[in-house]
Amino acid sequence: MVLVLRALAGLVGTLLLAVLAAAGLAAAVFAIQGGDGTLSLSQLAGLLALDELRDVVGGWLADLQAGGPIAAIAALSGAAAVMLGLGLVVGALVPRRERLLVIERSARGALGARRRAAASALRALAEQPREVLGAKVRVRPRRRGVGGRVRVTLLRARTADAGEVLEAARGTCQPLAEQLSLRLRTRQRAPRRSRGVR
Amino acid sequence: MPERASPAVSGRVLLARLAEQVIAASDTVGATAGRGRHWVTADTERLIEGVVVADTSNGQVDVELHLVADWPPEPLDQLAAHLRRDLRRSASLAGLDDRLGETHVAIHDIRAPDPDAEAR
Repeated sequence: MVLVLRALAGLVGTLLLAVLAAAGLAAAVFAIQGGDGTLSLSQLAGLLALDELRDVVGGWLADLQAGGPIAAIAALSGAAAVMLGLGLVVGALVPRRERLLVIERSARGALGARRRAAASALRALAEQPREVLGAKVRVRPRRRGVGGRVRVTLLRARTADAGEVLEAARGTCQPLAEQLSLRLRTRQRAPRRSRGVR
Repeated sequence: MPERASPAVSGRVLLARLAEQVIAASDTVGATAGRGRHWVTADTERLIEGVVVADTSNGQVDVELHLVADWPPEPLDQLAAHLRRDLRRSASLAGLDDRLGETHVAIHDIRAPDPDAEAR
């Protein structure tokens, strides 16, 4: 349920942002000229038929005040809108539950680790070779079942051989990755060439 | 010294206390209650951190140990096996062997070695 609400909150948030951006752009463009010019706000109001909209909405609001079936439908719609709003708030505010990496599961119990713990241990190992300047580790546990995948991205020294760096990092990380029931993937990149200090 | 069951304290809480002692006796792990202090068990006048116990439908008690492991971590399957064995032994001595169900082990973080402790 919370997953659905979270997805809905994300979708509605994105759509609202897009609508807001379009409205802001339109308002900015139609504020270029004043008075009754082509790019004036009064022209924008005319294009959007705000006068007619006022008449329509005004009549509808008068019906609401009068009571009857339209008022009942409006009350129900209002209640539904409030419920939807509360659902969106729940979807936006309820914290995401972290997926735990399950290392083994048996009749005696399960053994698991947080992704951050597994990643930090693997990063420490990946950064051991001298040629590795840094490492980024991403652990992806399986949604169901034991184990998962880990991707280690190595930042190697420019002078270091890419193949050797990968081999060395694999050698240091593989035993722990196997312990954690993770399938290891390594890749490397050299640092970007900078212009240096001027 | 194993704990004796008393009428005032349930077997569930007694097992939580035993689990706390097992963690405290380990050289390689410590207990963590988590950032939101979710992983605790209420004892009579305090909270047992890093231990969550739950009664199951078959009358047993499942125990969760929430831990921070020292670097370098010992093989985690061995670590879990040691903790389970020690807890089982303590429960047996306390007469709670038949109440102890599954023991789940969760590693939440890995802590760097303390340089002061190494120097000593």
